[in-house]
Amino acid sequence: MTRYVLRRLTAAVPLLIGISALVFLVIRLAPGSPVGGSQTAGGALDGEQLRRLREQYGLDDPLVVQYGRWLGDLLQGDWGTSFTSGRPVLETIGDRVLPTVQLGGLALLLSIVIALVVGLASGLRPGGVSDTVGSALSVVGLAVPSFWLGMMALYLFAFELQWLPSGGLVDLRSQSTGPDLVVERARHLVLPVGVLTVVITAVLLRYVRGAVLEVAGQDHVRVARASGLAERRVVRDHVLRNALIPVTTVVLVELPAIFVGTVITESIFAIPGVGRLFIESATTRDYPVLLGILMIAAVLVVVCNLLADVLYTRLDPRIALTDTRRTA
Amino acid sequence: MSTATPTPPAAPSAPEAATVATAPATGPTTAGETAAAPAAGVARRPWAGFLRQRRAVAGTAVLLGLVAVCTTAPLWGAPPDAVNLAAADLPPSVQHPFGTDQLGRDMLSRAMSGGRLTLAVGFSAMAAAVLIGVVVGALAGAGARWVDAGLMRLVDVFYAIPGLFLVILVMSLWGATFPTIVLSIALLSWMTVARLTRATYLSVRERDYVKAARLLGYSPLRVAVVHVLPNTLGPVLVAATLGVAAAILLESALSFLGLGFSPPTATWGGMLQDAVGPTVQQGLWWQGLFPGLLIALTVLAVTWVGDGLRAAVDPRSAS
Amino acid sequence: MSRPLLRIEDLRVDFVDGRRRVQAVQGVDLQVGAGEAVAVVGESGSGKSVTALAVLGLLPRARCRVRGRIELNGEDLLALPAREMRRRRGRTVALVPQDPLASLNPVHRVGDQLAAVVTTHAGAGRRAARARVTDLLADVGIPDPAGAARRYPHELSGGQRQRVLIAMALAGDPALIVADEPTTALDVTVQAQVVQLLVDLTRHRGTSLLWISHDLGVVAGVADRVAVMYAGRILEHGPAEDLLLRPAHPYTHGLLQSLPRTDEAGDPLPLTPIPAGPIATDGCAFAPRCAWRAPACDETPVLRLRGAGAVRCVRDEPHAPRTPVPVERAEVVAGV
Repeated sequence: MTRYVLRRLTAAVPLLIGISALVFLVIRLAPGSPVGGSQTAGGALDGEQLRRLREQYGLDDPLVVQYGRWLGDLLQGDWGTSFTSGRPVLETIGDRVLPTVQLGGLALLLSIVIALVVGLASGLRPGGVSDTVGSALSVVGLAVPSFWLGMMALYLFAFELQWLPSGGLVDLRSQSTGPDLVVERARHLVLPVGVLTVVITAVLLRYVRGAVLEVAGQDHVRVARASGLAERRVVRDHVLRNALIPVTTVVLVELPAIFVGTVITESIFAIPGVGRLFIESATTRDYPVLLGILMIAAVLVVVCNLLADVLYTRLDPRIALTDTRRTA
Repeated sequence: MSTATPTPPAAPSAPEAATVATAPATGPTTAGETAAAPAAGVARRPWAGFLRQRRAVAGTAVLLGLVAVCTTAPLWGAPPDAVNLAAADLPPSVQHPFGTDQLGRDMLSRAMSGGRLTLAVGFSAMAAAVLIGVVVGALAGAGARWVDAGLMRLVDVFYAIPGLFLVILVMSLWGATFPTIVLSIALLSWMTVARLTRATYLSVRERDYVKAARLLGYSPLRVAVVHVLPNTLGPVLVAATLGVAAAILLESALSFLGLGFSPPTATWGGMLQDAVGPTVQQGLWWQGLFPGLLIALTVLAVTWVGDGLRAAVDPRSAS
Repeated sequence: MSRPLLRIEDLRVDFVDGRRRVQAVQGVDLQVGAGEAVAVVGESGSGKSVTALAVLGLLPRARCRVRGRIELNGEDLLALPAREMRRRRGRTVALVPQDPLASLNPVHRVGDQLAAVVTTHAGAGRRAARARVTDLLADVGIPDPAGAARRYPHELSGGQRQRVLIAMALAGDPALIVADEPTTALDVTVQAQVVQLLVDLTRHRGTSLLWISHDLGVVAGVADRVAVMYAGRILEHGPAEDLLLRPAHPYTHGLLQSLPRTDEAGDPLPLTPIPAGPIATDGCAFAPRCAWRAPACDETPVLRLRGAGAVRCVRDEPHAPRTPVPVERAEVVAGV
């Protein structure tokens, strides 16, 4: 099994290189550059200074060279410095990781629980109460843009009812510490986590329901009932256990998408996370940070896919670990 | 949420997983090929299956209605860009059914204008995605091993990049014009179509009537167009329709983040962006409500149509 | 005769799907005595599997309407609340299903699945359960029972999987075993072994057996009595030997003639293909395919006693088969 993992990891390398090359290309080929953009506001920099800046950042070398240099630095742990803040990229990103993880992690956890409960009930009794509720929830989560949901939620809870704060992670004026701080943080996270949960649950619910429906109709479930097993046991050992296989895979594979989904939620709720950092960097053309975030995301995708495959073989004894090329 | 579609080792039986297509041939078979190409279809009247679904019919009706209203709006509505500060921030009324925004512009007509743009972007993006996907998929299926492998690697690369990130990146760097928005959304969605096409190609290629056709001297291109494409039509159509829904959401997200079409062009997402402050801080709820409802309505209608198409194409997938 | 173990009275099962209603079972009467082996034979769609599932209470309530009476040990199973029915399953009446690969959960080890049944019915501790599992597997003739218990279903052969299913049915020591085409998915050579196993086990324990099959050949060695089903009704039933040697109903006759023979070239297709579409409820359902059809067949025939059995046909005389049906080899007799 370790051999399989190693093999997959080595296969992932060209993939990552490909991604990095693609991203690098996209960024570098774009019109406008970091130097000559905001830095020359009002023509404050003359041609000579501009030229020296470009030379300092190596922006005049051929693209391939620039790419090679960047990649080499990356592999040695030097992810460059942010154009806007001057601080190391990894540090810049690192500062903002926690809020994103809190937001995304909490939402994901909640979503999994809800999706499993509602999806199981829906799949076991199609057309029943849970099914209708679940479908309604799916509709809302899939069709309704999350930022709109957030906005309306803010309107309702922050403006009309004034129950919850309207953004950020903490009140600017407060100086709470310890448990008070935790409570305050929590209050600020309620709406964003809620909105994100709705969105994620909608996606997961469809998969859970589908998987449960399919499994519940299989012969071995009927045989289990025929043997006189208690219904709870049948559901747990035969329906849920089997349905978890595709569901786990889906959750893992969708994980990076959740990470990306926080972008919007962070924007509307003014949460200083990685998603917002990405947008800010895109606007200011802070290439090193952009590249850094994208590479992290790509690595996350590769790791999640690998985990999904490995976990799948653990969960389903029929699947042996061969070099499964997913591009079937 | 981004449009990344998962591809686990064994596709879950979930609606969104693009199932490998052995779809009935819903397209016409040319007379010359009938000797070699039996009508592989089971569904002789696919539209019957589609029309039987209430949601699909409702969705189509809504979409057609929206398109009609949006395109005819210039004839009967107020000009969307007419600034009138005296009438700013008015709640919904008979004169302004959706109210007015901060600059006194009638929100209904802005919404209709935005609708035109959003729908245009959605459909164009998916058309582009289908075009790219079919070409790549056919090349992969028809070509040599290394061509196939290379192209599939490309697909993997695109799958690995989180969609929203890529689009944000492209939009912020290359500016927001109709072509760039359409293209960047298309770049996110072509992979599914490519895989579908490739899978169909590979399966069709081995069938006897195709081999017979090749022996008779028909070129690969002809085989592709006559035999493979009709078989892909169904699933690709389904994927494309669902992709339109995703494209609409994506475009509104972009506009919301300020990376979409620039003002004064009206888009639903842009209207929402303008509305954040007023709605949340000042309670001008109508400015945020209507554009969002429209987005949701459109996406829902498109999704229902897509689900209906899927049920018509592959009756087994109906739950 | 003492009270039969299982008595099915006027069983009717309808499948409802929206507006369409399919009458899968239209008034079936059947009895199985203690220690007796009864076979129900018929083609696909005859309603035989539905009957079996009805006895076990496994028909989905949402889609099926079940009426009539199914008496097991004197109590009407159809009148029982769900919880009570569940208690009977596995303990009083058990199922041996077909398609062993689909009937076992691929994700759990064979021993664990068997142990679950054991603990449900015997309430034993883990170690005791494991021992019982090994015993059961040995009873059904699986080599290396302890090793087999640790395997997953896909690691066993088809015949072994079927044996496991038989073991599962025996785990609760039921009074009646319902075998729903247990050999259909198996190779012919394995079929014979499994049939023999089931027969031996049930005879040895005095368990009654209700064997559902479409294959008269398989059933010939198993059953004490045979019932032939068609389109939801029983067309004929009687002691096995009588029925097989001197079938009264044209359909039975046709089924027997359809058995592949190595000693003569008979009519290769004695039975016409099953017609498509719903079966008419008036008149004899088999009439469209019957070679001896008469105008009287437009009336729904009733079950008439004949010897130790009964037949549902208007013709008065039993039909002399063109050739006697072989249970062993037989001679060709100049036919009618």
